[in-house]
Amino acid sequence: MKRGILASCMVILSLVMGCATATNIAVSSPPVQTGGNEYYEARLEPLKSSGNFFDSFRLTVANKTDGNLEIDWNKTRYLFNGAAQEGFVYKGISPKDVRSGKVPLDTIAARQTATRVIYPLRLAAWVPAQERTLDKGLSPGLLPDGENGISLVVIRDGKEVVEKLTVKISEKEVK
Amino acid sequence: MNRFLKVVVLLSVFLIPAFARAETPAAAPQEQGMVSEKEAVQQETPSSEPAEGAAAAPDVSQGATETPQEPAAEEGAKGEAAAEAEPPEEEVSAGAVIADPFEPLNRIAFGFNDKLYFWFMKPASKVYNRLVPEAVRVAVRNFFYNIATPVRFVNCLLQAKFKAAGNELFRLGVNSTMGFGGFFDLAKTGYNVGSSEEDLGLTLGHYGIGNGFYMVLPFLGPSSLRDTVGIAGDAFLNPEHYITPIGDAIAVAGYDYFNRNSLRIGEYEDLKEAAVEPYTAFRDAYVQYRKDKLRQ
Repeated sequence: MKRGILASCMVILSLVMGCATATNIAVSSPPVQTGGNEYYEARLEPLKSSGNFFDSFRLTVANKTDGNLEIDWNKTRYLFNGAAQEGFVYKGISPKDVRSGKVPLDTIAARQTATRVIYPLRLAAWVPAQERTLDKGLSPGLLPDGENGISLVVIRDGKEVVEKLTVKISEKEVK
Repeated sequence: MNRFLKVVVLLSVFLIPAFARAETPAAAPQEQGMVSEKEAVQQETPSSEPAEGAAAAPDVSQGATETPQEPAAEEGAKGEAAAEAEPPEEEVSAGAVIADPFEPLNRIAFGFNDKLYFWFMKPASKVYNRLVPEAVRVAVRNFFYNIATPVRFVNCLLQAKFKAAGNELFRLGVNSTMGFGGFFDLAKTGYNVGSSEEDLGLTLGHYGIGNGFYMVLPFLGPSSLRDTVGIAGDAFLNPEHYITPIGDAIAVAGYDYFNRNSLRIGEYEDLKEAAVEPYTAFRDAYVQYRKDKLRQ
């Protein structure tokens, strides 16, 4: 009896090991995208908060002027394969605010730099109540393969300055 | 118990493959977004009319294609392929898709869970949160999470993720001893060893079994046929469910569930209020979540 169980375990283990596959990881090209104009320098870096795939961006905006700049999150959009989607969610800003267009302007003082970790509302994932997880209920979803980026709207002296930054995300197999 | 096992096996063998066929080949990694199957079909339809599914975010997508109002607006473009002109949203590939043949029933269960949340869970959690500091609630969650290690360990093995299985064992050892019985996640904070969070639903998905169809479970919320079978299977591996008498087991599981929920009060209404159609939004966000988990 014991031999039978042992043999079954061995067979199952061999089968399972035989099914072992290579893992995929996401890569970004370029790893960090930069852009800018006479008013500000912007830097967009896809982030992997856990695992092998990107799920958010770190956006850094450096104000080059002697006056304040304001990021308009209500008009800033997530870009996927060139198409504008919904806005971004970040810490302190709820999806409700993003959807209703009530996100307050984000001020960057003269010659200062602001950094935000953001993720697209369109890709937000919901962890149901029964799920035994250490994650929060609402979490960033994975950025899909393709061109992912941001159409950043910054207001300077009442005028909008739009900058588009995109990176190409693809999967690579590693063994 | 054997009879129950047989039912679970029968369900997984016959029903899942049958309903998996109803799904579109959503496994394509580039497909993302929150669009239902019906909506996805509409998006494929060659029509100049905007797809009904796009109404999930009508005002927002319109805003996105607007050119800046200010005449003096300046626009720069950077990136390998920053599009000169933005294509219409129909061209963006649709995303996580699931069949929903029992939508009327699911909507009833969704409504029940919604009322349960607003009438009981939220007020009770508010009182509980006032009485019990967050650090204690997190410790309680960690304790129950640690106890459920066999579920994750076995599923890691079943998916041939041996490193992850080893990590689970390491976490169990460290957290059970130095983490005072699992109340502190020392493996993560001290040794940076995270959990893989595998379950039977993901194991079935790993071997190519589709979601089946969408289900909303009373009390538990969004799920799919595959994941519901997974929940039932995982229950056998969770020591929490072997407490006797059964009344105690239910009480312990109930407290675990309640405590976990107390840590995320406010998120449900955030997503609900942001949604044009809450039922669809939660369905799509759930499918997105499981799809992401499977991909990882």
